[in-house]
Amino acid sequence: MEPNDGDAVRRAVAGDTDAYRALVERHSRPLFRLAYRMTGNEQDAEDVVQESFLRAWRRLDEFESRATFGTWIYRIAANCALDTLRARQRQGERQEESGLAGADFLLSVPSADPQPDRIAQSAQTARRMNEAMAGLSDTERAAFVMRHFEERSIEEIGRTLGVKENAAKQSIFRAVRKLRRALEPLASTTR
Amino acid sequence: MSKHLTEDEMILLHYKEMKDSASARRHLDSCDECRAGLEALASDLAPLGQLEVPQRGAQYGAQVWERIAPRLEARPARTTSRLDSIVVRHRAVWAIAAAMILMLAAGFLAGRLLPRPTVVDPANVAQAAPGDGRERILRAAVDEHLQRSQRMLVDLANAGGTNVPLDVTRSQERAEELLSDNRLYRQTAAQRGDAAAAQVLDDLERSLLEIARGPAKLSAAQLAELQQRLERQGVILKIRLYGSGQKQHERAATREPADQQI
Repeated sequence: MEPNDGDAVRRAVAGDTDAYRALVERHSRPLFRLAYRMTGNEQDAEDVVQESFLRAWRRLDEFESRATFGTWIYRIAANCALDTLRARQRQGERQEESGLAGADFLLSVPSADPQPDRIAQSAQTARRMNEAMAGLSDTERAAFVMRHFEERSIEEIGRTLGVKENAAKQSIFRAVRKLRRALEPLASTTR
Repeated sequence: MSKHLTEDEMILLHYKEMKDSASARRHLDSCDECRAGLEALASDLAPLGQLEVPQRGAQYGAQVWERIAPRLEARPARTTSRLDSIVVRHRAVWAIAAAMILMLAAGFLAGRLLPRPTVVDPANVAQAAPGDGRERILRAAVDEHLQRSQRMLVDLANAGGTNVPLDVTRSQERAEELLSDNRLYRQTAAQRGDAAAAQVLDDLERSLLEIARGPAKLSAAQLAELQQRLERQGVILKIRLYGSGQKQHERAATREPADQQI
């Protein structure tokens, strides 16, 4: 637990909003990073961050002091992001949203060389990667993001997603296989 | 390890998640093919490293706070113990646990006080009886949960008239409360292999999410759209069908012992 988290949590549980504010300010950025990688969409990621802190506030009584607040809020955010993915899927907006997400990713792929052909190549790379990520199921995407980008252990991913460790492992296997198939052409051009 | 590494093993090695990696490492030292395979895996995933997350400045946390602060409900100073709080928040789960304890106690007393049947199948007693009790309690809990969800959905499906824009904050709060229970019941149903219950709970969860995440005030058009969507999803109908299926199942189950007596 970070130096002041324990004290801030205790005060927040007692209704001290200033203490909770300190926690929100401390943990918002890592949560946004996770939420963005899971949802692939900036606005969704913003919503997930806010919703996670609202949920955490309502459930502060359930927080076990032996856990770290960072780990606890991370799990809430991961599930919140999963909920968002599922709701999006349900509304049949996934393809549309993938288009938006693609736009987000396009902006986020750095291009050190401003030459038009390099920019076009970056855009193509980003589009391919976005399509590859969009091809994963919600659980595969969540598990892969947590393992590959966030470097969480498979055991922790299982706990976070509420599935057995082996199920989390299988999700990661499937995700990697799908991504390899989709990304291989890109990798071979850079080898 | 003399056999070549599988792709799954390579993935575990790549992420340093292989429990006993020593033999795999030894194999890699002597196998060009597997070493090349592991390098290819890393190379295939490498482009993902180019994906960057939009930057958020040092003030981002303060901005998040500004947005959520007005939506925080007042927390009363904590006067109850953690146990009290857990009991209140999870009263449905505690009610199930209490009911199971009561059933076990009743079963124990019945076993002590009632005359024993002359023919006892130990396998049935060991497996069917406690399992049946648990099943009944779980079914009752899921049934109660579905009924509460259905009431909320029906309220929403019938809302409207001249009362627009409609404030659905209360429905959203109810949907939010139902969601956490729903997730628990859905996972339990899936783990027990109860596909019918898992399916209806899965469908319900999606509808609850839509309601919980939608706008708090709905214009006439938004309300009509939501109601049409609920109708298309048919979740109310699915809950009813599931409920009547369960009743038939129960009736059949209660008839069976009577038939056997005849």
